[in-house]
Parts: sequence; structure tokens; C-alpha cells
Amino acid sequence: MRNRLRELRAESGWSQGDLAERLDVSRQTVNAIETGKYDPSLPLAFRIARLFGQPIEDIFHPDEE
Amino acid sequence: MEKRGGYRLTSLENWSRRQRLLFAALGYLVLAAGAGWALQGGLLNSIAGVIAMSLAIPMIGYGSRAVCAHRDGPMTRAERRFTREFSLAMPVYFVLVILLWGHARSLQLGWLRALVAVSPALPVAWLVWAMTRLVLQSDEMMQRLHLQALAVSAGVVSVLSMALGFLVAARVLHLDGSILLWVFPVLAWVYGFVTMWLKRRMRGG
Repeated sequence: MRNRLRELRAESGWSQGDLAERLDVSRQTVNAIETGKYDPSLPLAFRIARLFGQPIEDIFHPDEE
Repeated sequence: MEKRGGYRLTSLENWSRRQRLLFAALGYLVLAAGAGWALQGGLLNSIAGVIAMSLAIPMIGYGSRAVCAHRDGPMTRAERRFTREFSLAMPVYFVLVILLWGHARSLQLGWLRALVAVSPALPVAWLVWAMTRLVLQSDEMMQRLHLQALAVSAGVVSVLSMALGFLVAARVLHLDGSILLWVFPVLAWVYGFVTMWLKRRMRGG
């Protein structure tokens, strides 16, 4: 799964720690999502989408076959 | 979900990386020195060993975490609570093992001997409870990581204990029941190593 989390976070001027605090997760989790090492659960993906005011499908994209 | 205590930095996390590394390394040195004193025997050596090792545990716990603060962020509330409980449970364990447990064989009353002999298991139970709470209060990715580490460590310990059990049953090795004391330490070491390796892999290192 690819995502635009790093780009959206940069646009908001937040550090990984700032975003982690807003999402109530660890900084390691934010880093793992941004680098594509971890795909978030649906509830966490919804929290991310709500935080940035965008639909989930605009933030997360399936890998191309 | 991760219970976070905000971004309150402790003074230790504000130290330079070199100072934090030195602090954690000093903790391991103090632990080794304390263990050395305790192994020499005698009441004074044992007390000195217990005090040194009890001081070393928070140095290692807080110091090691502070070394990783630049990439993992400051300690969460759950991590602070775990480290505090770890720093209390281990000194209790040292006192019970080094100063009390050795007297179990000389006690006449059966129930008292059993109580003294089993007493070091109490702080271990406290530690297991603290670790369980730490995992339950972690976020979803960290819980998955802990589950993977637990699966690997349980698998390693199971295979090792079964192999040793077969060797002893076939009288190839001669071991007594005290070998069971190694089950938890080996589980904790493998668990710690695998957790560290998984975190490194998640960072892409």
C-alpha cells in the first residue's frame, strides 16, 4: 500500500512526533506507515483521513500489480 | 491504543547522545560489578551487590530508552510506568534471591521453606504483569510487533526445552530441576532481541 502521509504531514508543518500525538500512536508507527513498512488498520486509516480532511482513498492507494 | 503522556521531556532525554550512551553503559558496568560482589558471598558483599544492581537497573532502563529517544520519540506514559515498575521489581528480586533464598534449605518448617524458596517468583510475576500492561497499552503496530516477538521467543524456548528434556530423559545429559530457572530469562532475552530486530526492520534499517 502506498500513501501520501509524509506529504500531508509536511504540508501541515508537523513533525512525526506531532502527528503521532494527534493520532494517539507511537512515532515508530507514523514512521512505519510513511515508509510503507506498515499498513494501518481501518480505524487508524479513518482517523488519519479525518485529521487531514480527505477521503481514505485520496491518502492510501493499493500497490500497482 | 497508545496512552501517551504528551511530550514532556525528562532531563535525561535532553542530554547529548554521547552522555546518554555513557549513562546506559555505566549502568551495565555497575550491574556487572554488583553481580561480582554478590557472587563473592558474605553478607557485606551481598548487600553491596544488591545495592549496586538495584541502582544499575533504572540506569539501564531509562538510559537505554533515552539513547533511542531521537528516533523513537520521548517515553510514553506506558513506557515510563513500565520502567518505573521494572526498576522496583528487580531490586525486590535481587533482595529475595541474594539475601533470602539461600536460607531456604536451612529452614525447618516446611511451609516456611516453601514460602522462602518460591518468594523470588513474586517480583517476576509483577514484572510479567507490567510487561503485559505495556503491550496492552501500546498502539496497533507495536502490539503486532510484540506478538511476533512473543511467538518467536516462545517457539525458541519450546524447542530448546523439548530438546533438553529429551536429552535428559535419555540420560545423555544430567540436569536437575533448577534448569527451569533459565526458561524466563531465555524467553526475555530472545523476546528483547527479536523486538529490537523488528523495530529496526520497521525503520528500514
